[in-house]
Amino acid sequence: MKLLRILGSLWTAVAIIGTLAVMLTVSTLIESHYGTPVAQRWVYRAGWFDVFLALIAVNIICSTLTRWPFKVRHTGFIVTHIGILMVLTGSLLTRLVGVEGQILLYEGEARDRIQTSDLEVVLHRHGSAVASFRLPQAGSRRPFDLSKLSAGLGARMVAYTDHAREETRITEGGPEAPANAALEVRLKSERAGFDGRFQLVENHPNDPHADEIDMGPALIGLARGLPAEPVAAGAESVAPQLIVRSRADGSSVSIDLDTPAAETPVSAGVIRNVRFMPDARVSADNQLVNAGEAYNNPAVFFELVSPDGSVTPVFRFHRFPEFDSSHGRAVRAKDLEVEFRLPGGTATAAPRSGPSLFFHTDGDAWIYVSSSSRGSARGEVRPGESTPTGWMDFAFTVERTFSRAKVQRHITPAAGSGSPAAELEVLRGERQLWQGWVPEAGSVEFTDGPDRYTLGLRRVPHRLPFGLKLKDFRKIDYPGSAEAMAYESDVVLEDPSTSTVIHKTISMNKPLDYAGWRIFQSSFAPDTGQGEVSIFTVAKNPGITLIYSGSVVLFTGVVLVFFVPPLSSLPSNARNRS
Amino acid sequence: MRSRIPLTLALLSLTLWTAPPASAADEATLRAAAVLPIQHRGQVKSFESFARQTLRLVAERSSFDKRPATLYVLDLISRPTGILDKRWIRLDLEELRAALELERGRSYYTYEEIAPAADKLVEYVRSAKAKRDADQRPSLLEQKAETLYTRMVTVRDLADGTSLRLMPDEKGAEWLSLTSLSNDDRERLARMLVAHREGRVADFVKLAGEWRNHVLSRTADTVRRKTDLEALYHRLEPFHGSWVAYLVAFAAFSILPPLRAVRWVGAAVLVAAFVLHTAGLVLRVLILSRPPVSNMYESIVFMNWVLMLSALIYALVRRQTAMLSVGALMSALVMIYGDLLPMDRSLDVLVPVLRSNYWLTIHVMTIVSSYGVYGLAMGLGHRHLILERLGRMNDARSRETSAASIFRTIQVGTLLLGIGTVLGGVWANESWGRFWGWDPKETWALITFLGYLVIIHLKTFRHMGPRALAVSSILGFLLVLMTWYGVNFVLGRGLHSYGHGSGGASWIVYYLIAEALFLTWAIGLRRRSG
Repeated sequence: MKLLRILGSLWTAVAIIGTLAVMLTVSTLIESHYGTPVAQRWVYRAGWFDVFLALIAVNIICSTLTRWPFKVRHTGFIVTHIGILMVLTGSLLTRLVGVEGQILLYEGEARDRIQTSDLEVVLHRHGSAVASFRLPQAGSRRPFDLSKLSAGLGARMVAYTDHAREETRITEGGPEAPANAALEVRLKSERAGFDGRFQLVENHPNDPHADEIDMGPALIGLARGLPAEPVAAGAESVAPQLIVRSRADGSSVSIDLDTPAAETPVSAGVIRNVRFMPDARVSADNQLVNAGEAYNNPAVFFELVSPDGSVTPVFRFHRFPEFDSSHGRAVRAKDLEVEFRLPGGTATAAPRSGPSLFFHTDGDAWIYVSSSSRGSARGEVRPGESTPTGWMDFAFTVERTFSRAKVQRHITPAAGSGSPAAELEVLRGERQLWQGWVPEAGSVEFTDGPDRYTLGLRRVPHRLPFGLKLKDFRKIDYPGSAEAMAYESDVVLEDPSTSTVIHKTISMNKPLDYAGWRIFQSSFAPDTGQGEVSIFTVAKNPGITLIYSGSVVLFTGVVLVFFVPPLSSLPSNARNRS
Repeated sequence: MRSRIPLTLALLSLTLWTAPPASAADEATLRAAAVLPIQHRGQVKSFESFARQTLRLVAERSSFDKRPATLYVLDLISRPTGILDKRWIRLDLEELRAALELERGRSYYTYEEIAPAADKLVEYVRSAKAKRDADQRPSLLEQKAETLYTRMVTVRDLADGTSLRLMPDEKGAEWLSLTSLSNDDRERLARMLVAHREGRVADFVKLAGEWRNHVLSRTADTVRRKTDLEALYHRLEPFHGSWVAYLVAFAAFSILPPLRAVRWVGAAVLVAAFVLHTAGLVLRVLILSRPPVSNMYESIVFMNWVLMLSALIYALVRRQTAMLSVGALMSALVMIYGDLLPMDRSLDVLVPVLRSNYWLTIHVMTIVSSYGVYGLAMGLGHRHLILERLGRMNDARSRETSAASIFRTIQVGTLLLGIGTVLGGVWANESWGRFWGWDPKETWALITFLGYLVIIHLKTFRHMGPRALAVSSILGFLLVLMTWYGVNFVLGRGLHSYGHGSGGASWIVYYLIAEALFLTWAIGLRRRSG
């Protein structure tokens, strides 16, 4: 009884409320200095915070019980406190069994899984099973039992960071290491205020595109095999030529572009009606026309007649080899690799239209080829020597070259930006098998005898009882700006268990409700060429009814306490004291 | 008694402070030019709004060379070649002047003076952007460079006519800048501007009227109404007028001799001030077609309005003129404060999330109302402490009455804050499925709520006397300030260009210092004597 009085006393209440206020203040300061994830982990989503909220509930229950037996004048007090308890219970319910996650859909795509914000470690034993465990609280040293994968296997989190930076370190392997070209190059420009170091690796264990870096306006790349010497101007052929190679069997034919033959047989059929345009332009009525004889935008048009008689029109541009007019229409046209040979020696199959810098190697010698709109330059790579690229005042310096590169990734915590990473230790019994950082994006590998393992970190997925398909996404901008005024998505929700199909348009503030789940339009991603992307938040919030009704009860009680004196008299002990 | 009269005169002289000296000719020109429609930043507005915004942006002034904004900008565009040679681009950081190798000792420069240093300026802007991209705060120099860069762009766009979108195309869809007008329209416009340049006022007024009708024939009817309302709003300067009147009313209640006639005049002025205040809010609502809480400035004006409204209601219900006096002074001070803080006062709305959403509107208005009521409690707390300190509140009864009014306002404020916060949760849940997310703003609303909850509990159970309550009402308001202003401007990491050390925060610091001094005076000294 005495304990009840102490727990339910006014001073306990004041102490708890005051402590909570101070704690929250500190927490917002933490958030301001260390970022939202840290504050969420240390305070709002920490276990002790639940305990503290439970303490509030205990205080409220005790203080209510000390009023027993209740009188009419206690009404306001009791109603208010019941309201608070309802809100707290609702919050607890949501915290414990609620689900919230993101789903990202391309137009036309359907999914039935969301990504929650929690992280989990996924360990995959090759040729065998997969195991996963939720990332523990920072500081927890408890190992996770992974004997499902292999007897006695366990893992433990050593450290965690919200912002990891990944660095690749390249070292020269021994003579028995496989050939793998790599180089480190520094690019500088005074005028553009640019100074950056790049690594190019022929065979990167995790990044198949590590041999090319797209800097936006320019491309830097590494290629195996030394380039052929450029054709001296006018030496070989004066007439422009088109070399058509078949990807299927490697056979090739050459077509004289000034006086093309009426028909040229190739392995995929017959090429006819060849038309060459040295300076192709799109006319006002959307036709491709030739504007002159200068090689400003060389293009060729021809028809490919297949053995079955079908005709495919084909446009190919010298400057834009990736542009394929026949996309989707005829597979056969895609089998043809087209290369222009133009007079002047500058013309082989240009890798792309913009400026580029390519490093070629045969394992020993290194040759660079830099090209820009003003022509191309080539030469031997001399490490440590600054060489102009020909684009603005950009100059490059090759710092190191490798012929048998060994690539190691180093993940280190960094301030500010980057994605989460956890440092893990994999154990068999007490013996450490592996220790290192595992990033959220990407994975790491290690071996244990004959067994190969892959470790990754990902957002915990949650399977929905239904599938969601995005039919169409629309974005409306403020007039004269690119700022989104509104956006909405046409979706189809399908629940196979109840054979429900719902068609609906979801927009900001107009969610889709289904079986306790709400699907909100939360964001979108800009179209990067693969179609528009709509991002939804999917949430199940089981405590919300209790929170809403508890709030109504709470404020009804407050109004009674403040404004209806007969229902809000003071407890007798307080009255006596005054 | 006699010593109070100079103070009153000083207060009244404030009214003359910003009254624009305008001749009849200027007045006619201004009226005709003010209502010309123009498209600016994605919306159609009156030329006066455009001119005020432009001058505010470029020179940080509402008038320049003794010309009101509208006339100043009109003068400029009727002599477009002179725009680049006008000394009106404000640059107040000596460090940046030195870095750009500009002549020292001036605050205003011409475009041509700064242009040679453009490369350097762009460099600062670029490094500021790089810092923002890396989630760091740019240096003061870089922030000022960004501002100066925006000013330069604005002046250039004005000089070459690209920002003067005075006429929609034939379909009324897209507004055309000066350069893309039809020959016919360009000639009309030139005739109008030449008339102004040559000082032919009557011609200008006639041509401007014709031009406006010509434009309106191609636009929706709302443009006529909107430009008219904007002109009325600018003419009235409702918030300026109302704070002056609030000060006068306060003088009548508390400084002038307590005569019946003076009181009645005071009450009349107070009502007039409140009507003007209300009219200003209503005009803003009509012009913007949205509730008056879309930016910081509007929230201050609205908070203030609620403060005065609750003072009026309380005074009527409980027959307490002290309420009116405190309410009037608080309203005047808050409004002056709102004028001092560097904020966007324009009639632009650029906040997409506030797009006509029912719950959000109710939520924000309830919260801002609670700030108003808390503000009144804070004012009453000051009154209580001052009167006690001056020995004019000696009997227990007047202390209890004062404490009761403070307590009642705190109760109402807490109720509003609590409901408003829950409504915010409702809105968040309806919008993105999360009732509560521990966002700094909502966490601070909760901290404020908890702070006042402590006060309420202690007072309800008689552990807090009148003076402690008065002090608490002042301390509690510091929490309100943190929630209202501090979360955006102090905690916000690098998201806002002004934070520590720039104009906005310094005014808050002055307030905090003044408040600390006041509390020391009111309680510290008192304790020694008592």
